Amino acid sequence: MADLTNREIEILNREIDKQGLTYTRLQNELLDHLCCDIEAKMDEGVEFLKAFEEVRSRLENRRIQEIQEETLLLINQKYRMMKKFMYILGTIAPSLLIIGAIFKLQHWPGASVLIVLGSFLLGAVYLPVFAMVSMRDTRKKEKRVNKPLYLVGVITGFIFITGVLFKIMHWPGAGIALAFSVLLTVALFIPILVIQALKDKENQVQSFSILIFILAFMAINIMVFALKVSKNVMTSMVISAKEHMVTSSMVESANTLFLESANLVNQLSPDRLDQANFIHEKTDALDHFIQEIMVDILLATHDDNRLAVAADGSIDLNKANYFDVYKSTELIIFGNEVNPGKGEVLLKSLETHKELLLAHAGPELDRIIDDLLDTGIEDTDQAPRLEYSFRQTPMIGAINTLSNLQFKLRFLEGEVLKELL
Amino acid sequence: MISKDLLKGTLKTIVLKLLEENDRMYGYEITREVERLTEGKVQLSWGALYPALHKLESDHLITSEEESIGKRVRKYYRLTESGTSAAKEKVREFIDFVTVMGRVLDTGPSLNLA
Repeated sequence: MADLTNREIEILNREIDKQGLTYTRLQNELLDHLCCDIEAKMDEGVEFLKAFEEVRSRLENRRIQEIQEETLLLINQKYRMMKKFMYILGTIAPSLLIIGAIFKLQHWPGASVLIVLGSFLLGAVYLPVFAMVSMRDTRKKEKRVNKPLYLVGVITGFIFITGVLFKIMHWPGAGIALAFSVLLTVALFIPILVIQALKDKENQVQSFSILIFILAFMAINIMVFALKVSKNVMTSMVISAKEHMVTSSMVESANTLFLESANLVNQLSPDRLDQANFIHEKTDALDHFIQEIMVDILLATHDDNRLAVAADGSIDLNKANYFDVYKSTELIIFGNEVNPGKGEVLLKSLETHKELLLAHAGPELDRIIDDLLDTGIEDTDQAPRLEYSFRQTPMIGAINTLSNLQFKLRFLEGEVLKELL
Repeated sequence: MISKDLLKGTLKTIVLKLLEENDRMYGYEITREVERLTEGKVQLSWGALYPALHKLESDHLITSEEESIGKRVRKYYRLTESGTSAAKEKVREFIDFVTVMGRVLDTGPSLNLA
């Protein structure tokens, strides 16, 4: 029996290599087969090159690649792995999302990471893998694969999931992505699905249910958007906070003016004038401290909010955003491991201020002062004042409460000043 | 020559049967053996044979071992335990099929397969 030289084997190997096989076990086998074939011909007295020419036809027209494809299809290697992968992902991705949602609800740290990861797995990994497995299943049943359906489905699903993720994370562009996914669904996915259902009588029930689910899901989405409960609450709080800011600055100017004119009038008792100036000074200090807390909260919410804070520390809520973020309120009021919260200091200052006002005001003002500056320290039935005002409170809720406090301080200042002078 | 369509369903049966009779074989050897047994009437193309062999292997009916022969690697196949019983089952099934087909197509009692 003729034995091929190493050089000859190398030539054959290169020929097979040209076909771009990736499955080496098959490549080795085909090489051996080719060698045997040529050796048999050489045994009959044919020259190597001539024998090679004779078997060469087998190497043409991508036939070797077809063998590889068929082999891989038959042994299902890729498919089996993908299917396993799909099952694992199908369990992990929604679990991450559910755990993330619970974390978000409880305001535990790490919610965002879980949600982003879960969405990514679902949209960018699970969806394409599912499409591939499903397409493979269809092909195995020797049916035509509706490629546009899968393509549009995966793209639309991906854009939709991205939109939802962006919405949850308050990233810009969520609205566009969601609108685009709805557009794709209505203009492309549903028509393709309907045509598919009309053509493929066998799976009509399946296609029909998918269609119904998509329509129902879209309806629910639109309803949720229509409700916009939380958004309206946000808006009303923004309006209310703006009003507090306007009125308290008006009362502040009035008080300052009143005090200045009183200082100019000489026949007033200097003792009372001193008291009035002292109260004005203290109110100013507390007012500034509250303003400082509000600015801190705004800036801790998002960097963009620095645009809403003027150089003199005044706040323009028209330029602020991210009103529904919770973490900044708690961070500034209750602090963290590094920074102590300002809440306790605020409460103590309020208590001191209340004592000061009570000491200088007549008995008829006592009740109003008590009511307006209720620090709730003696109140044991309720959670501590700070807790129920600022725990799990969105940013605008805190701003609303604090600006209201500023207004009340200015109002009481005015009342006490009027009584003193 | 026997047509590819007819062969398609029986290729596995042929491979299993050959491996049952010969301890271990490699791809080229199988095609030669089939050619010899059928006096050239059945020629297995490698495009049909190798996918079938890999499928049988992934179904654990046969195992393979690779052996270096000079510069190239030769892959031998042999039956597994379940492959041995599958071979018997397949052959019996095929004989049943041929018998039934014989009756349907009325080739008469001349068919002798035992």
